[in-house]
Amino acid sequence: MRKLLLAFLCLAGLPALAHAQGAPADTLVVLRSADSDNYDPARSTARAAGEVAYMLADTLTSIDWDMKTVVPGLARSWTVSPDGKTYTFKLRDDVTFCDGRKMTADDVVYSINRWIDPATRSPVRWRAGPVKELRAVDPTTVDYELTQPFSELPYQLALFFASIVDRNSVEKLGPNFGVQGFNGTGPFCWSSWTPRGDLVMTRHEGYNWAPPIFKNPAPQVSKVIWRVIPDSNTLLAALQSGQGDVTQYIPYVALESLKKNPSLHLSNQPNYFWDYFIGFKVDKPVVNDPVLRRAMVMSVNRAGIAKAVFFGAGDPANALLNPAVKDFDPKSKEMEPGFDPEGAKKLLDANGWAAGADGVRAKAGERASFTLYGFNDPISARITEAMQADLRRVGVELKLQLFDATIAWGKLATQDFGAFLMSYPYVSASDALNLYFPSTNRPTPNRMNWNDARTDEWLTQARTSLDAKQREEALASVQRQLTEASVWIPLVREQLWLASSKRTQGARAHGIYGVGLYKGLDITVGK
Amino acid sequence: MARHVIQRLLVAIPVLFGVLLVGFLLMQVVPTDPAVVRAGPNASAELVAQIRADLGLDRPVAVQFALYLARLLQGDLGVSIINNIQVSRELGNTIGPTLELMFGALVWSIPLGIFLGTLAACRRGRPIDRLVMMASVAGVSVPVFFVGLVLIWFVGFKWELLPFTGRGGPIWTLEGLQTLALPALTLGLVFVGPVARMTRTAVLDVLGADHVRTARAKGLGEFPVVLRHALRNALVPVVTLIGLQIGFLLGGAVVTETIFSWPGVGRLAVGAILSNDFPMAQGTILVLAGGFIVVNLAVDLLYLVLDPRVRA
Repeated sequence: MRKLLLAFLCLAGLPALAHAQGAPADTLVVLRSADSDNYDPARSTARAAGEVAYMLADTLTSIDWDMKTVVPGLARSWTVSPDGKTYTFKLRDDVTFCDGRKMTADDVVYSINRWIDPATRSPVRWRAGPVKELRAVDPTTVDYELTQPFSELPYQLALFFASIVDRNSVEKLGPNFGVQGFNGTGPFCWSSWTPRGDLVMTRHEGYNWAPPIFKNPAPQVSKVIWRVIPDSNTLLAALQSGQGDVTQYIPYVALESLKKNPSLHLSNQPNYFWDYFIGFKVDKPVVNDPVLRRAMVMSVNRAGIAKAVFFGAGDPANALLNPAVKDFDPKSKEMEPGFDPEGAKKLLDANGWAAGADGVRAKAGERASFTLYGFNDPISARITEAMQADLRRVGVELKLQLFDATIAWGKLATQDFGAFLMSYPYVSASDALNLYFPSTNRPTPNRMNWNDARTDEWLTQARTSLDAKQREEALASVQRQLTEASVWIPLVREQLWLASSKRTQGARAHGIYGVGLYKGLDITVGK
Repeated sequence: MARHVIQRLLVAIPVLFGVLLVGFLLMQVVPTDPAVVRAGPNASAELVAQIRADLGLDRPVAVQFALYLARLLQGDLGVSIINNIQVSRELGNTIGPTLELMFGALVWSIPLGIFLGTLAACRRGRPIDRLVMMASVAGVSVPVFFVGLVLIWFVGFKWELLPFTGRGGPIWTLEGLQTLALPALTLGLVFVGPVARMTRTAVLDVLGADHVRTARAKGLGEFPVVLRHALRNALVPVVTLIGLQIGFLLGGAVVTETIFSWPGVGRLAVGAILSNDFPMAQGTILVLAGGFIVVNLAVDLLYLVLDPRVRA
């Protein structure tokens, strides 16, 4: 018994002797809350995949910090043919993959073709445009020929889905590409991945072809560890105690206190495009009435939601799209109704929506009552509950059905609901509108069932126009039309904050496709 | 002895089959479509249907289960439908850390629980008895996640004594020991209470027995009486409880692994179930159920050693 006791005391004392250690020097530990299912840029659309893919691989083009300007990436420059159908990309001649092989035009042709190949089954291959053919003219020249002009192409090619990858590695690893290995031209090289644990990457020696938006063309740390910590309390404690260096996964409630923490540095991206919105199924009773939809837009207190649910880490959405995004129409912002519940009541009264005995309005025998589908996460739950209360005050009954993320996408593909809550990233007005509103995109992602010939025509004009002014006007027409029809209630614009520890310098929030660190360049870590 | 072992092993086979069947059916009941998960947002219905066919999810449930069992008998646990990794490979990578965590929790909590229970029994009715019982009730009542968060806050964050994210390495390395300490302390704390309470009750029963009175009458000191004559006889119900509690400890490990980002089977199970990764979830269920069965078998065998009457 005495020996047992002694043994116990020794074991209990052992950990106390050890002192907690921070992350090793010259290694950047990035903390995040979720992992991706794989890291093949052509097969995954997850933000978690993009975070890693941007560091492991490069794209032909890149996007500047203003999130509007397209700048060179692997392509030094590009030209467009007079008919707008052929883009000619001049590639850098000093780029190598992580295995040392030189990147050529053949690799670009292979990577894009692989992305758009139906066998790859990329749900976002439309982003590559209406491709007719890609040709490697010479080792540093690629002709990207389209069946019709696609003005969005340079933007879309900056997204991680269009990453240039090594054919040999893809063919060798097959379905395990991006799972057991990866060979790209990015600033870091794949080292190892433990799903739901650590993804480790090491510096790509010789890399100096970073997009011109960075001060240093080469990575400043020798190793990056992407560490998954699902519990947000543990993640924040890890960041503040130096067991992690940087994260963008900051719980909204903690943002203000982190700003006051002198041991942390916070970087914000003001041009961040990730919005929450409510979409109405415009052909479904009772939300097929534009007057009712407009009254609902007027009834929802978006500023209140931004404050109460996002704790100030979100901005109330006062227009269909973010005013900072490329091709935003200022007039649509003026057309967007503000918070005016009394005005909403008057509008409903004037249009025959009379209050019933239970307080819910009705018109022609139909009650102002419908079901909303959404994701069962704390943010969505609180947003929808706040909305439910707001709408009830003007006599509209909102029935909520929130689903786990693994179920929600399937449910949102049905026609069983009147409205839905969603959040999404976008890079331009054309990107957002061409995803959600073409009639050909029904039932998903056009879950609103919006089917309008004029919209289709304007969107086609915007996609195919060779004239920037004409494209801007076409997109403005769509924004005004959709705002007038109150197809969405734009709710809140999420803010992007990057929190980094004291030993980390140079971490700046970018935000392309929701990715905070982008290439991870300019970041240094001390001891 | 050998016959007894074989009998217990044979009984384990239908139990394992039942676990697999129930686990499989539960995954079918969940209204999630893994094909939708894999296809991602904004995927077309055609793409989802293609993926469903590729994964064999369009076949009848009975056929899917039969195919699974057939593969299992050949030692093939399948591949993850989410990331295409071999299930056996993932399990191989995660069993070690989970066993480390279990070992780290048990190696101190069982001796401490037995010690405190014995101490309380020997000092029945005195302040130390009440203190031990109060502490054990608290240990039973406080949820694992709360204990974990409190330890992270104070030991890891405020005092910066120990790391609390992930696994630093194998248990025999300093880094491994450092990262194991807090999760093992968390998991072990919920184990001490029940063991202490059961030990106290069992020792109190034995302390009143004739053979203990005889030992005292022969002039033996209190320490040898308790250690040799009372505690050994009191261990049978304690071992039974430990066996059962280890099963529950596996459940606690799931929570502990999530809080401390510990790369074990529990965390793998949670991820697999949440993403509706059928093969991976089935694999983790198989391992966890197998662990439960093995522990119970070990407890049965330990009876033979501790209590000669069982052998008769």
